[in-house]
Amino acid sequence: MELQKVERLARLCETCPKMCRHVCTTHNVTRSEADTPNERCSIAYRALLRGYFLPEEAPYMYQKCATCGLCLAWCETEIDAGEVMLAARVDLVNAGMAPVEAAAIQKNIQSEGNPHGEPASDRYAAIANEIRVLPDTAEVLYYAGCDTLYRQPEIAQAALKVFRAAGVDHTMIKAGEPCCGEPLRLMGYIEDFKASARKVMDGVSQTGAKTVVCTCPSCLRMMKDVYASYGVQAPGGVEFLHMSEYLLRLMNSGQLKFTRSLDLKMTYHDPCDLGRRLEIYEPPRQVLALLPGVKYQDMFFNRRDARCCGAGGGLAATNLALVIEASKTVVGMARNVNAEVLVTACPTCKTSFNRQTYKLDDLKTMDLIELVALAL
Amino acid sequence: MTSNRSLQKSILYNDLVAILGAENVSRDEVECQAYVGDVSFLGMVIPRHNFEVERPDFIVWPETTEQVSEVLKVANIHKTPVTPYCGGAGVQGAAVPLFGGIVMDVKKMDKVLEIDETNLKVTCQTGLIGQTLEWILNEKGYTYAHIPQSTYCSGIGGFLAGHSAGVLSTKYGKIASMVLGMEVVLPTGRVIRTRAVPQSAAGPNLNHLFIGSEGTLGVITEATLVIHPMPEVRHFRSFLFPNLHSAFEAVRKIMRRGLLPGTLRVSDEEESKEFYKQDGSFMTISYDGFEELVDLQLRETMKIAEAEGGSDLGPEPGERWWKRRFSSVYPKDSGNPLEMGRHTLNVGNVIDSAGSFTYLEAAHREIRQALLRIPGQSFMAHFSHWYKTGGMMYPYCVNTGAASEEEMIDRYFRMHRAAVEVIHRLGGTMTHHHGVGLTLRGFMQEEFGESFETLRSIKHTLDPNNIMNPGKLGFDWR
Repeated sequence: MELQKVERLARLCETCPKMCRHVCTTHNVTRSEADTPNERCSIAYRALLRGYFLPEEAPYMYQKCATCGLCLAWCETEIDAGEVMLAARVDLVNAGMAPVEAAAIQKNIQSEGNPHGEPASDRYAAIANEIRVLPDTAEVLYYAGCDTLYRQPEIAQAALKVFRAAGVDHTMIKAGEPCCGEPLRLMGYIEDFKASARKVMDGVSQTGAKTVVCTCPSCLRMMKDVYASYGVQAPGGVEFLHMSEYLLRLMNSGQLKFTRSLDLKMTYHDPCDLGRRLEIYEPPRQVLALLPGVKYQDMFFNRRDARCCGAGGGLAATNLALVIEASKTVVGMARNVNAEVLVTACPTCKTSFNRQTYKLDDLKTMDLIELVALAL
Repeated sequence: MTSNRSLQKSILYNDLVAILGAENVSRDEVECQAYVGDVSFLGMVIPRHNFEVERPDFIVWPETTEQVSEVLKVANIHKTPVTPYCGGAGVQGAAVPLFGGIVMDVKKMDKVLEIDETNLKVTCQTGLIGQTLEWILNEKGYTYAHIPQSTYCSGIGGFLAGHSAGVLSTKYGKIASMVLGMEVVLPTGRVIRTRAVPQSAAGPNLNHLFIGSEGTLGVITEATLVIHPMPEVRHFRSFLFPNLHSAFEAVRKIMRRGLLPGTLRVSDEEESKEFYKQDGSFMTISYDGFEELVDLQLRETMKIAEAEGGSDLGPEPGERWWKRRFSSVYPKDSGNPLEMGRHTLNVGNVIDSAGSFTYLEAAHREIRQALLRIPGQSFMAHFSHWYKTGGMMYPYCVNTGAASEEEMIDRYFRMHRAAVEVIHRLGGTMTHHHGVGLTLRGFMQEEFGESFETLRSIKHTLDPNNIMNPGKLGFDWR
């Protein structure tokens, strides 16, 4: 069983008095002891000892972990209960017990190249005019990702506008970005994930880019940190950056000139993959500080302690009601600091918060790159 | 054909759903299994070793006092046990639902109802996890200064029902000293409130009836607690004394002098050696508040420590301890108290007795002797939670070498029997803040003597059907 590889984590976690329960994204919604990292690890550990899962255990493996890393941030033993859940999900797939939502994601990526099941031909629909004029090869590759292109395409539009304004030699994978594979990894389809990873790296190679810039922290994390651990190597000499890091370079080198003062009160939400996983906390804040007319205040929980938007771990596909409840916590904190804009740097987080803020007059959710584009 | 029993359960389920909505009632097997134990030795042993216990039939999550009341009324009709559950972080097994029935998880009752900055009090529901309340207060510049080692994993309801103490209790008191008023749902469903006032002479203080009642006398649903402005500074100092007696003398004089340390911990020679690599008796003390007062108290402390032969070890050991004050409960490869019994046949627990200064010295000597007669037993202790009249002893007792699960459980109770015999003979109390639960339930008659009958009468009057957490606190088995 894949769980064998994380046996130590599961065994130790189940002996804890739940020192991370107070920060667990799912527990803070359901308040059930079953929805704690400790209990999930306990179920996994019992399954490991037994050698198989009971049918009633499967939903707890899948639906109730955001893999947000908050438990790890609060664990002095450094147990990542999310890793245990991912291993359990692999075992469930191998046992033919994957839930229908997971199987649907695998099928959608296989057939349409995205987890949402949207037509592959629509991938660049929102940026069709821009894509047409991009070169086949360039110094910088912008990788937008499925959530950006299908759910928050204005992020991609803003990114391309900023690249043009800064005079960056840039392109995208013109034949159509493959999915980075993260949803497959989250659902336990490891062989499919590796296949996705290889396709992405082939695409990167073909553009000849030396710098890959992502607006989605999960795509970035896969390319920068995760692919290699599954044996998929990046082409030599390629640097992987989050858009916030790249923006900071452009701003510091004077390549971006701003003409418009934003005059807005803002706060910033650290996405889990960008913050806790990749430890990129300051560049987004530094970018905001360099924008004209930004009044900024951090929320009470920020950086390593930032709360999850709720949509981590594939929960947006498997338990949307939970995501909606979890996202209210962050929106509430943004209101506590009287922000007019809840800024994030992740399309998935933006989708989560938008469900709350689209109906509000005094608080909006925007991606960092949209604000930069707005100030040009 | 549906059995009578399962039909009854189905009716009860629907009664509960009518009160709480289906989303707040669960009979899911995995969910019910998650509430079989708690973090006590016995609570951890049960699920791992497959001891036959009744899994709860239903988990319910009330959000309002009215819902708690209605659930208890229904439980009375069905004569079904109800075990209140907050964090499940008690170490004596008080939250173990020994007879199945309904587990009432109060964690959705998590509202802060009022923060009164003028009169320094907070009113909240009792399902709030301790650290969550602390964060909410910190954001406004306040603390409620109740910081038990379990503050991340236990809640206000558990603190009250277990009569808990935090690491700053020498200055700020135990939870009972922090409570002004409470709302309690009695076992019959009747809701009562006590007045949230600084003090009152209008008869006995009913808060004290429910604090420490471990869910046997009702469900505490709301509390008004004292809050404090965040201290400007917190300074530490550590000392090494030639022996435990000289450290005790220093503590006694610190308390007599009227100083108010937040933390004051004294380790016996074994613990000083094991944890601090020091020969003698190690002490850490902290003061918090505004700088001048803290400095003055530290200066007085240093004079007393020096007079008792204490060597000044500076602020660093205490600061390190503060940063890692919760470390001991995190899981470790080398094993920790909570792993005892879970993956091994080892026993681990702390017997947190309390008494006068005279008691503490004698109890340390005699409990140690009594326990070390048990095969496979080890013993080391520290002392904390001080008063002008005495304090608490915290022996960390590990027993290894049991050959079977039954022997492991037997050794667990033998350990406690041996210690409690000494504690009562020397005039102490068998628990300062861990409570009774399953571990000490059999010693309550001895602890209370004649007055236990008074307590039992109160239980019978308030809970005629014995639905509230049966089998705990020495009350009737079901």
